[in-house]
Amino acid sequence: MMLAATFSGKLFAQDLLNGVSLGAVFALLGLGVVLIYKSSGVLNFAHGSMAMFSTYVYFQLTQSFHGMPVVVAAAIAVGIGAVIGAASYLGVFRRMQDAGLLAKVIASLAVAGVLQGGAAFLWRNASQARVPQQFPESSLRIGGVGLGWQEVGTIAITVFAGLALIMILRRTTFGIALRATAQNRTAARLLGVRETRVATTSWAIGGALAALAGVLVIPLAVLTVYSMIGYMVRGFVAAVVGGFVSLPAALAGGFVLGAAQESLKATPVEQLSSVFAGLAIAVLLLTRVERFFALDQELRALQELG
Amino acid sequence: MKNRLPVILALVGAGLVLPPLILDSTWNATLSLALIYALMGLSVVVLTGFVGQLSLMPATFVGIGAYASGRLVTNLATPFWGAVPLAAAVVVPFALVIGMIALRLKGLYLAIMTLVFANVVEQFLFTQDWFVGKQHVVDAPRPHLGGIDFASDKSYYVLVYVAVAAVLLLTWNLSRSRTARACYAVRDNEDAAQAWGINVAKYKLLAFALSGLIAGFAGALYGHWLEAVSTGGQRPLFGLEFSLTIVFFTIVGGVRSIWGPVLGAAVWVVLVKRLLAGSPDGVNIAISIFGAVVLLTMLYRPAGLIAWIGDAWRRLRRPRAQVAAGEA
Repeated sequence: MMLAATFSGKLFAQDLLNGVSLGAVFALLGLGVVLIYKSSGVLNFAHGSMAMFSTYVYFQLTQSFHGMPVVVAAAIAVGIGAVIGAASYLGVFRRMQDAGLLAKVIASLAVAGVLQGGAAFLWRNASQARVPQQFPESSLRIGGVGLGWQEVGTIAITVFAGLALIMILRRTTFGIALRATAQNRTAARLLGVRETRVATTSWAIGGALAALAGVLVIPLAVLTVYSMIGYMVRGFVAAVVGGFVSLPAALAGGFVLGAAQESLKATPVEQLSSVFAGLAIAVLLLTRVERFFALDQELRALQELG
Repeated sequence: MKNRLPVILALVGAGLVLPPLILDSTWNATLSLALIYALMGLSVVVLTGFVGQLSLMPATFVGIGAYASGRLVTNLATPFWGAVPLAAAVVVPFALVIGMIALRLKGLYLAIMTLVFANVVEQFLFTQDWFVGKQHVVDAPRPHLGGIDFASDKSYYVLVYVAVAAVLLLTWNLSRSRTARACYAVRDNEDAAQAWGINVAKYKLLAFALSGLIAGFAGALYGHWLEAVSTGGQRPLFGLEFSLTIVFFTIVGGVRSIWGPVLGAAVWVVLVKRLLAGSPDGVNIAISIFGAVVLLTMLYRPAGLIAWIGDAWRRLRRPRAQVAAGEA
């Protein structure tokens, strides 16, 4: 009886759809985390801060130059994200190649702290900022449910970026060099892979994807120094699905996590929605789900690296 | 070396008596906060410095302790003296759950999981009316004992000083025991420790429980220092930022020494509450500075500031030892 009273099919479909668009953001962040981890063995806890900082740049550009098309501002912000990513690798993590796992984690937290404090200081008069959408504010209606164009765009961009990245890793020289580094660092170096170049490129792409995620999702929320933390955490959960080395698993994991988390809101156990990420990560880690999606060799090589 | 004990006792006594006598109450509040922060950092030392496990949720445990103590005093009329230890004990089961999961996870995965759990507790537990009260603010009054009122900043400093000194002394004692040596073995090489017959799981769980207990105790003292615990609204009080702060000043001070967080917390609190107190962005500036200092520490001196002091101390003592040897 209770079930029938509180459950509505239309509501469920709407929440599911919202979840897919939210999941796209988790997937975008997860993809960057995987790329960075594969190339340098660093789990980038500064990922959310990079996204947040770039989104503040986007906010500043749209504020300062009224004539500038938002798409151009977004593109510049994504470029800034790439610069932040590359600079963190060249400035910090390249020097820590042989450091322990905890040292790298703490260093990435420190980078997060610098970006977080820096943004809070630079944009102290905009601690709660509203940023414009890149897509029309109207929405796409299918049957009884609707989805804003911003969300539709986010899903499309994520699917495109994810598939492009997977193809790059499969087909290009850069992708092969990256996979070789992830599997056996010494052998890759002996075969002439330029580790610094591969890792810097990966960090740049990761930073750009983080910025993209922030620029796409924040128009639907409020921009604060903290607003990307929750997304980053769920991006990590997506990356965990593939043991931090599988891009397809991170892409799919993000979408599934978003859809599952939001669709819970339409069920009688809606309270579970906010803790779902916690339950999911505990289950994923304890069952070692990454075994099914990642090469054993890569998992082991990267764990030894740490 | 025979005459060292009286000197140490005199220094400890001076730390207890002098600040309330010669400093104003703002400074006393600052110093008690530094001591409470030192305890929060100590919970990181017990976990990261002793058994090599990195948790990114120290502030979550602190928050649970702060709320629990406030609720016990305000809503259940528990006396302060019972509420604070009880609040510390409340955190232990939480810490043990994390610890039990940690037994199956290696470093990196543990760090992520604590990050996710911290976020979940913040969004779930710290938003529930039954835990944080209707207005999300819980009163946490300071106590009386007989005729003594600990409400003023000066008297509360004395209380905090005694409590923190006791915890530091117990932990220092522990850090030189057989138990601690087993923990260090687990930290340095888990497989080797296992091969030596050390029960790795037991020592990890012990460290988690102790870390939770210390964090909860610090949280309870912090709650009563604030006198009203709130979630902080737009700027989450017990969120990732606070956890980062605790980890940062502990690393800067020195994560393998129990005096590291004392030093780190003192630097942090004086920087934020005094030097940058005039600026509304003091905390943000301080986090940026500390982030940069943590990077420098990790790159050049992972043992932290306390190691510089250790070096200076040895340099001071060496000539004296040589003189003594010459006379004999």
